[in-house]
Amino acid sequence: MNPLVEVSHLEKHFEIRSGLWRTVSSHVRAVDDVSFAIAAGETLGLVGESGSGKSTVARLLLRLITATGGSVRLEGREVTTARPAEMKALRRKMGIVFQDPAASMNPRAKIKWSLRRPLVTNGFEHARIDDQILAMLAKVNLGPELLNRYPHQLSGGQQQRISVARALLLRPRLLVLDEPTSALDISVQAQVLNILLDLQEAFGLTYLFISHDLNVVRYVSDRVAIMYLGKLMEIGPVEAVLQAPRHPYTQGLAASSPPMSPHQRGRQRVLLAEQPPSLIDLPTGCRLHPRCPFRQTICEETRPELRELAPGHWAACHLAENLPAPQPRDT
Amino acid sequence: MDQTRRALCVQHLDIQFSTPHGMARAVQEVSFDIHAGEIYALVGESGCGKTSAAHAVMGLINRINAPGHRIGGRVLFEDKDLLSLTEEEMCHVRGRSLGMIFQNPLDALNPLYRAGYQVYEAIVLDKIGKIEAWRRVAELFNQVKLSDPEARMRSYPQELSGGMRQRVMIGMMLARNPRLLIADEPTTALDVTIQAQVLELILALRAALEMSVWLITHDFGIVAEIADRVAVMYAGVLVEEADVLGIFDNPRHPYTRMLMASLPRGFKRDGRLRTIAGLLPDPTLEIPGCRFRDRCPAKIEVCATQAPALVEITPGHRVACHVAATVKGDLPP
Amino acid sequence: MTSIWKALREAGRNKSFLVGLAIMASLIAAALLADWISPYTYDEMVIVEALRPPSGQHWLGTDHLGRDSFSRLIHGSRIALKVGAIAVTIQTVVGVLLGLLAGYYGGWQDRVIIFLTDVIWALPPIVLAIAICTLLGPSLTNVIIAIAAVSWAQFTRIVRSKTQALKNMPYVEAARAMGESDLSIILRYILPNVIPVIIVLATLALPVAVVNTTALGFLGLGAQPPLPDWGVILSESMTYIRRAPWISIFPGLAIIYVVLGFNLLGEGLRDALDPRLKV
Ligand SMILES: Nc1ncnc2c1ncn2[C@@H]1O[C@H](COP(=O)(O)OP(=O)(O)OP(=O)(O)O)[C@@H](O)[C@H]1O
Ligand SMILES: Nc1ncnc2c1ncn2[C@@H]1O[C@H](COP(=O)(O)OP(=O)(O)OP(=O)(O)O)[C@@H](O)[C@H]1O
Ligand SMILES: [Mg+2]
Ligand SMILES: [Mg+2]
Repeated sequence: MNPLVEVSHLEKHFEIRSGLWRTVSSHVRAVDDVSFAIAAGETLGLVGESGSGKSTVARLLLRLITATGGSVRLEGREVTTARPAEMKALRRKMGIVFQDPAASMNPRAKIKWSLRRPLVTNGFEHARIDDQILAMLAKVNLGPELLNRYPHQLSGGQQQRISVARALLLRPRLLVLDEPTSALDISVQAQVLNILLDLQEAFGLTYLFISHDLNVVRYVSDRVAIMYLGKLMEIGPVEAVLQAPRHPYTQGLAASSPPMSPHQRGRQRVLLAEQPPSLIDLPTGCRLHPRCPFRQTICEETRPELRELAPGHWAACHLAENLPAPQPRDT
Repeated sequence: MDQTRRALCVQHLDIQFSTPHGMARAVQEVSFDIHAGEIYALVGESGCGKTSAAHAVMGLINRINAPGHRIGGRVLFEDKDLLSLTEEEMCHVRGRSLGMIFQNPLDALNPLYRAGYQVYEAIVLDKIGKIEAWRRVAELFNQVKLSDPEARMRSYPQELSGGMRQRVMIGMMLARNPRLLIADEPTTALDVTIQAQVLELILALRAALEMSVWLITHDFGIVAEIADRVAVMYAGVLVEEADVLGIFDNPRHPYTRMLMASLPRGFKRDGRLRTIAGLLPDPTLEIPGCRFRDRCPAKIEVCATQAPALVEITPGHRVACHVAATVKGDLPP
Repeated sequence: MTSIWKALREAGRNKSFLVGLAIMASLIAAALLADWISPYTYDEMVIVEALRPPSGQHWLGTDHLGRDSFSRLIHGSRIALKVGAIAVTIQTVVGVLLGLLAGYYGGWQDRVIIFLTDVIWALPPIVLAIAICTLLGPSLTNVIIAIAAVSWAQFTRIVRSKTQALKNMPYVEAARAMGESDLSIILRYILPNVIPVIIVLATLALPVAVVNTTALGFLGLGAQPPLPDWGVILSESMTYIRRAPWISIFPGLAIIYVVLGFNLLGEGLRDALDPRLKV
């Protein structure tokens, strides 16, 4: 199976400048040596605490920011070094939807304008643009009456569906969804998730779905990647990673995320201690060790690499084989 | 219900805001009791009136932040009707037995003073000695499980992480030994890992101090985790109230049932989620009958004319729906 | 751009905005219709009529050369508005372009431009304007250059910070992800959202430009006699201020009228377009 997206050793270090001459005083290692692949038609869920680098990975995939190292390939073509003309062609194959639906459209332009721009700028035939927009609106269950409104005149769910429609107008192969439902109410979230799944089936889309809500990620993903302080901690099939996690960090996340029924109260909980440390001054060895309940000397000294523990299931933990078995969570 | 075991009693609370399009009814005829020592959750989607209800109880809706508002009903707390108190009397209640924590603790803390001093100020109101007060601050910082409490007391709010700030806020409230703590989305701005710690803390303190907690949230996961009883609100009205198992295992109101079914619980292969068609009703319109009618798959004729009252269908389980008793099994799509 | 019109309609309910609007309209009318309104030409000398106080024949009296003060004042408004408008247009265009450039691209472009604005801000504007005019020689064109040169920096500063905030908005990132070019993003996505601020800034910059024009004229560095520049009138009348105070009082009042009018207008606009903006 040929992956649609291949990310290898991706790295983004932001410079922090300070002082009179704005010299580089330190680096924020937002994304550090991250590798994964997404197969065509698959959804990869990307989970992690705030500041773990999820959005930075998303921006790197679309080259909205330039990587400081590593490579991103889409259908075998390198994205990080593509020349402008090739980049424009590559961009048509990728779309993105952001968390804040209200801020995702030009506040001074009507919806119609926002939906026309991607088609116009990519040289679509003018005569057919309006038909394409109407067809796409229907796909996200919206009527043409919204076209003459301004973004602030729509509800959050409508705004987010317009964002999805806009991202799909260019018929991309990959859609990056950066917390697409975090700002929405439960019932509206359900609408948007259903539409995303329907569209994936209809167009054979590939998703990178970023979220911090494990229940949502479990529901939409085929595989899940767990990120902590710029590094991948665990990646594998959704059932394996979320129901029987092998990394203490994933176990901690799963234990912290609220239950789906009051019957699950009093379940065994591996709670992670304290706060995550700063990205500027990272711990030695395993980045999790100051918060990890199972840490040993080796964790403070050697950085663990991702190891394949079961077919397709990788985790970066020295102790993965020797951890107490976590209680599987019933759903 | 035993009169002496009620921490808060809200009766026919009605809140209207003045808007350019007329008076908007944010909360309508809402009545409920919070028992002593329980965690009572008020859940509902954005804009349904949760915060307005809490602010009315705290006396935080005034001429300055909501000109032209109207508040009706009674809020009984410690044998007083909070809605009839003067601002001065209300301040006294707020300073002692009624505490509130907010979604964004940074808004509630003063960036110019150290965290420890702000808690100290809250205690010194009680006219205890200075040294005694500082000792109590250190105790409180320990009690809310702030790591390295000495250092945290000397930090400014913006130097603390979201979870730590929320702990400081909780500590500040505990300083007054409140009988009721109102927590409005206390963990919405926090990561799940930190949220779990804050919820754990609220649970521990509730047990240690025997206070009641009125928890406002839109997250059913948090409700499942710590609530004892739950009220569900829709467009300004209470539609259902039961103990937490009643709400999760046997929801009766069509809105609650659809909301539960719209939560993602399984995998993609388990099928699509339930959605609720339509939009919230316009709060400035006077709506005859049930407010959920337009979106309800089980509606009958009477729903259009008569607003359903919140009635007890089984002990402790109240529902405001004409068809709740008749429609069993799955709702029509 | 409907929301700008909506904001303007809202501003229409604001009293200070309406007063400012009326003052601006009267000034523009005076400037455009100067030849019809004024009973005499601005340079017609009747020496025997010199230094006459206001009367039915000369509404605001006459100056030391017997020229009609009212006619000179009205014609002066033409100079004030023309010089002000051109200077403000230049400083707006330059300032906004530099601001967009610095804010959008950041990096060395930003550092160079910000250094320039710092230099401009470090010097008192009128002193700098005097220096420029002295260097280039006295003329109205050089007044325009001098005024624009000392006042573009505030536009750059504010447009830059607005641009910095806007360029990280999701909708701008989405535009880039859809293949929009930098130029298209700046012109179509960022500029329209900065325009309200620019309108307010330009309105508030105009009275400053008018005051600077008269100041340079007063010092002999701007318009030259016999042009009826308000500054020139003031400087010529200084000798006679005891005997004929009306010659200097009315240009002074005219300057106050302009400053008041445009400030009222600008503040009304600011409240309507962007209440959070503090200029
Ligand atoms: N332009 C930037 N300059 C400097 N640091 C940055 C920049 N963008 C992001 N960072 C830092 O990189 C880290 C990762 O940020 P990122 O937005 O990718 O996190 P995230 O996982 O998406 O978090 P969240 O869940 O809060 O959205 C953070 O510490 C952030 O402060
Ligand atoms: N000061 C006010 N003036 C006018 N309308 C108001 C005011 N405060 C709240 N409202 C309106 O009252 C309704 C209820 O708002 P409220 O903040 O109580 O909802 P909520 O349930 O807390 O929502 P959320 O989950 O988004 O916090 C909303 O329609 C809101 O727009
Ligand atoms: Mg993010
Ligand atoms: Mg609220």
